[in-house]
Order: sequence, then structure tokens, then C-alpha cells
Amino acid sequence: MVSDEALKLTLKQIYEQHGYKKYRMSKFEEYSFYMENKKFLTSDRFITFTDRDGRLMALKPDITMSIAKNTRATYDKPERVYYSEGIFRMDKDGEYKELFQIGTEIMGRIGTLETLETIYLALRSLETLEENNVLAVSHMGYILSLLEAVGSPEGEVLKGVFHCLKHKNKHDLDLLGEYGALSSESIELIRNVIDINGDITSASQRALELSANEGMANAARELQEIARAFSHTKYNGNICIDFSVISNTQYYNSLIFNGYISSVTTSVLVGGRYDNLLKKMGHSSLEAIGFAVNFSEVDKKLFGVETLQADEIIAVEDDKSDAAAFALMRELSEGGIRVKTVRGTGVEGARFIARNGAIIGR
Amino acid sequence: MLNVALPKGRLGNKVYEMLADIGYICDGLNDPDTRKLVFENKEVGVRYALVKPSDVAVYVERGAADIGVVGKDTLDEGGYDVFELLDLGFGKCSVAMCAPDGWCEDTSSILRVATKYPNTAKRYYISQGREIDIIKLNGSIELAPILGLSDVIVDIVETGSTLRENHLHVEKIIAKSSARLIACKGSYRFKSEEIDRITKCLADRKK
Repeated sequence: MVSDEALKLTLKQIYEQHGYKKYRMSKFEEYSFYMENKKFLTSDRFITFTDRDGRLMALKPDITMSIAKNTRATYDKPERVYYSEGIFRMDKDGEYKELFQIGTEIMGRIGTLETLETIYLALRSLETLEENNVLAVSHMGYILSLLEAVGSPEGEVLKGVFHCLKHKNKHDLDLLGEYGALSSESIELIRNVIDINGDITSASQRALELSANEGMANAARELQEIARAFSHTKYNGNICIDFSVISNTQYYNSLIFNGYISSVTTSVLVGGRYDNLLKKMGHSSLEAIGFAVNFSEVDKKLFGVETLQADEIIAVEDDKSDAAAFALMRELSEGGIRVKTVRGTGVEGARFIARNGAIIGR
Repeated sequence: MLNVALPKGRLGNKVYEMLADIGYICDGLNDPDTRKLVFENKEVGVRYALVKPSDVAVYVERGAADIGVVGKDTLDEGGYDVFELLDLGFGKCSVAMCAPDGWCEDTSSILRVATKYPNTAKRYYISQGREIDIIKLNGSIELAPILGLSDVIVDIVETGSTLRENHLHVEKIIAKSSARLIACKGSYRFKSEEIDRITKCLADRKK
């Protein structure tokens, strides 16, 4: 089992190798900042406190928003940063939890290169966590253009369509048809989009074939570009297209992806293009892309219970042997040997015993 | 190995027969005297777990099972983040608002609603703009208005015979329900071929 500290260090090294600078930030922002931008968050419930100046502050539920607010990037001089921070969010059961995230952001001009670089780093991040991994890629531009193609539904019908897409639920689409909310052609189109699955090359081609308007076609071509770039790499089998990957908020406006490893059943990585957020922060000329690895999702299933690997164990049977045990511990440790001291008698695996002030077994 | 959460009881027996028909056989599962909860067939690559019906979606959402079968009423109530791949077409019933015979709604007071489905009931009455007091119960919901605990109930209705025998009737059907094949989103990423094949086989059997 690899420790989570080792994995975090490896990820940081990967990002630094590619020129990303560490972004350090405080744990809190003004509460008003999140309330003004709550449409980008999955919840409007935060842990708050009043600071000594009487300002209402919130423990951060999101890192990217703070980076976006303070970015000094320009369109031609993008910023590449990574972070390794805790955030505080409410879970499904209404409990506040601290979640640990490591992620990257590029803010500035986002072209094909920056998109491929981000996907590549996402794949390398997944690979670092586990060899058996999948990056499920989707596109909010394709989804939103699909909605235009089926008549721009609103209210309960819109919620129904999103629900069916998100849960791969084709059979309840028929209910929307029964109420006359969607035509049979529209239902068939949505059903076919739900069915798009599999390797990125064939799936992006299928997405293009199904395109009912220019918006869908442009998004599909973007996905095809990604397919072409990765088709001859070792990661080709790790990327799939799946339009059930949908953003609940207005955070992501175009490419969006979730990463999975086989030992964890929820996604461990979330990312995409989030130009809308930058515009809201007053950076109308900037574009942005990034992702976050949720270490809190990558729990005991991956790391297991940490066991200290020791080369030598010193059993300390009485208090008067502490000094002798300490001297031996130092000698072994400074000689590069991993050593562990355990109090008690009959300690399993102990080659050295500290008893009556002396060491037995040297 | 494909892990399947089967609901205990009639529904699970029916689902097992369908899966056994397409090759996912497991000896001993159909034994009515068995107390075992987990059955495995290594050759075929399947493991079945017999689960309380209302817990199937929990096992699947958290990946302890790759697929399972659960009622749509349970899915809607719990809001589980799973793929809902197929309406199996059986186990049909309705989630309905039911009232005692002769009941007349008093819109001047808060309506007391007893239910096993508090989230479903809340969503329905919010859509009606009606203020309610939800009383969460775990079983025999029909008792509540009889003993004066509630004015009405929101509960599952199949034939309606239990309601009739207790002098209750359906006032309004809120939602339809039936058995659904669900899959864990994480498991699906790595077992999509097998899960899609099972979905298609079960869908073809429906026709």
C-alpha cells in the first residue's frame, strides 16, 4: 500500500515538472464572496465565523473561485498554478466535512494545447493513484445545444431531461413524451445521446453524427480533436465519452470530465473549462481550465491501514532499560535501519530485548 | 466478478430467475430454507447478495454491489446517485395520497401527513403550495388516520385492497413505480460491456 503522503508528493512533482507553481491561500474568505457567487457552488451552506473586525467569514468551500478572483493572468500570459488544500463542504447527509483536494488551473488563453495538457495531467494523476482508471469526458456545450435542438425545454421538463441524461434513464424519457412535453424525434435524439458510450474515437464520431445543430457539431469536433491527440498514446484506453457527466451548477461551460479508479466507486477527479466563472470575477478576456483530485474520496480502499515497516524491533521490558533502548534505537536509525520500540514482554518479531538496563540479542 | 444486490422476497426471486435465464446461475439461491445471504458462482463470475429491498440502492450507490433491482419509489425517495438502466416492467404500483372515506380537506389548517416517504410527500405538497406536517412512519401507515395520528397518508398502493379494508381510498396518485435495474456509476466505468449486455438481455426479455 502506498501512503497518501507519497501520492500527494508524486502529484505535486508531476505538476511542478510541467511548470505549475504552488498557490498557497488562506483557509477563509468573506461570506459575501460566496453568496454573490452561489450559482457556481453546489450548496449555499458554509461554516462561518466573525473575525475580530466584525466581518462574517466562511471556511472555504471552493479553491478555484479564490484563485480566479486573484489571478494576475492575461490572455497572452496565462497562469499555471496547482494547489494542495482542504475545503469545507456539507455532505449529502447535511454534515460538514473537510475534504482534501490537489488540483491544477490554467487561466489565460485556453487553446487546444492547454486543453490537451490538462487532460494529460488528469490522466497522469489518475495513473498515479491506480493503474486501472478511466477518465469520462463530456461537454456542456454539446448538452446545452442538444437542449436547444429539442425545443429549449424549461421548468419540470428541463429538470426531467437533465435527470434522464445524468442517470442514463431512457425509459422515463417516454413519460416526458406522454405529457406532450417533447416530440418523439426529440426523445429519440436524447435517447441516442444517452447511448453514446465507449472509446473516445468512436464515441466522438457518433456524437458528431447525431449533431442536430452547429453547437452540438462544434462540441463533437472538440472531442474528436482530443481523441486524435490521445489515440496513439498509452492513455487511449483510459478515456471514454459519457454525456451523463453533467455539471449541476453554472461552473463548467464546455469540456467537463470525471476521473475514476477501480478501487473507489465515486469519482476521484473532477474538472473542465470554467470560463463563466472568470467572467463573473471580472476577467472577461480570460479563459480557464483545471481539475481537482479529491483525496477524501480516495480513502481506506486505496491507502489501507498504514503499518510501519520496521527492519528491527526493540522490545523494552522495564523502565530502567529505557536509556539502553534509546541508545540502540539511535545507533540503528543513524545507520539507516528502520527501527521501532515496543514496550512489553514476548514482543513478536523483536530481535533486541532491553531488560535490566542492558540489551540482549546484539 | 459481477456483484448483484437482490432484494429479498418475491421481487428478488423474479429478478434471479431472469438473470439465471441469461446465464447468471447460482446454486442454492432458490432454496426457501436457506439462511445464507451471499451466493457465489466463480465459474460464471457472479456474486449475489440478498438485501433488504429498501437498502438495495444504498449498496449499489456505494459500490458494494455493481447492479441491483429496486423500486422507483425507493429511488425517488432517496435521490440515489446511480444509473437507472431499465424499467423491468413488473412490481408495478403507485405512490398515492390516501384519505379516510368521507374525508373533506380543511384548507384552513395544516395538513398532517403520515408517510414512509417524507421527501416524496414534501416535494408533492410544495408543488401544491400546501403547508403540511410530515409524520415519518416505518410501516402500517394505514393505521395513522384511523387512530387520529394524521389526516391523510402518502403510501404505496398496489391493488388497493388494504386501503378498502381499512376504509381508506386514493385521493391522488403522486407517482407511478415499478422495478428498476440500477448500476453503480463507478462500477459501470469498468464493467460497462457486461452491464450493458445484461441490460439488453433483460430488455429483450420484456418484449
